[in-house]
Amino acid sequence: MPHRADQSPPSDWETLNAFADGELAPAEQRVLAERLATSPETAERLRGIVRLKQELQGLPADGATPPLPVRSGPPRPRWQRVAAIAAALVIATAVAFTPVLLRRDASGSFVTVSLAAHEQFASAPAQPAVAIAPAAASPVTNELARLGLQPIWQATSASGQVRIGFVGARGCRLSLHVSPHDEPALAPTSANAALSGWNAGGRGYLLIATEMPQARFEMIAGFIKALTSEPADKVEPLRTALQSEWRSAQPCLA
Amino acid sequence: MWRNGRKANARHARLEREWARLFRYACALTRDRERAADAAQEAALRVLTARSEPAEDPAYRRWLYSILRNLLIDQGRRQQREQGTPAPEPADWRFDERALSAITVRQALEQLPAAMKEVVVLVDLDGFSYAEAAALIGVPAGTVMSRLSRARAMLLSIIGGANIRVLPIRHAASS
Repeated sequence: MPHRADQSPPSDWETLNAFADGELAPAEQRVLAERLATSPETAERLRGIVRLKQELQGLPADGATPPLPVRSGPPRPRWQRVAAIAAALVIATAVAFTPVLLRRDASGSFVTVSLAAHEQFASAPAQPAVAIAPAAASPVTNELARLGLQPIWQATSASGQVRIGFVGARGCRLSLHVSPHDEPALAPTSANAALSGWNAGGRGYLLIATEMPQARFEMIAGFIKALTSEPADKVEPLRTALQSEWRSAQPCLA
Repeated sequence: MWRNGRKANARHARLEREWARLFRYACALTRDRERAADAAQEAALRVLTARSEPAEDPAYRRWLYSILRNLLIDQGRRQQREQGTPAPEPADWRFDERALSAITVRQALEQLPAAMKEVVVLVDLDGFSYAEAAALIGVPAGTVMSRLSRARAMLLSIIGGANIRVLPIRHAASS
């Protein structure tokens, strides 16, 4: 087989790749085509690039693709959005909730709206602690604060749903959402977040965390659920276990 | 309202067509499926709640990818330190066509530094031009060209090294 040693500098390799990608100008293409006709080495390289491209383009999906998030509702007219923002600001000022990071969506379910609010809370920079409004202050808030989960965000909606966002010493963020009435049981959800929901004392509760190890989240959820629905003697073992876990906890994934 | 509902459905369907590719790009950037899923879903929420979106498909795809990419940059999740990883000299390899298979190509792709993998995904898998990829990444087109060629050289080198070579892969210097 005729063979010509090819001492191509890297720029030639780049040019060859660009040729395979159809990125060369016509004049450059002509020059390279002439060279390909006389250099089996160069032709072999081009064949390798083309085969590699074909293999890459034919790669099957690597594992399951996560589901697309649930479709949001149709956008509201601009005046409604402005009105909603204004209303939210009024509410925020009235109850001294700072900052309010609540995404209002009157058509959404408790879970949907809570997830959206959590998403905003989790992606926002940490804010200084804010005064806890009486409606939001509760044994739950105090218990979590003792564990090192500081409430840094709270918000309430016109329908009376209360949301509190906590951040831990290791960067974990979770939010507790309380509805003034019982909520339907949680349906299987595709949300990329840990969720736990329950009803107790005529209220609906939803705990959400992202980036938190599942085992820790479930411990916290079990503890809060017990706090809201069980007598004190049932709560104490969970509190002890959680405190023990907390001392050895790893930072959250974020 | 009905018209808005139809519009939302259309937007969702349009995004759904790009969803698998968008997730793959997120995987390429993060090298972590969980983080990729996080980022892709957050990007999707931004897309679905955006006030408007590009009408033309090429512009729409660039817009999608840039939202995802900017989101990851904002979150500081990219492993920028890998950008300087040296690639083998192209002249060092002779590819063995029989070594090229979906499995070896995928394994090799996973071994690429993130910055190289990104251009391979954008150009080879997702069909972006050099100029489009360059605009998306925020580098000159020449950088894409260089990075892509080094990535391919590295891929071929990894593929060559990872397989039993049934043919000699080097020619004698005197041949």
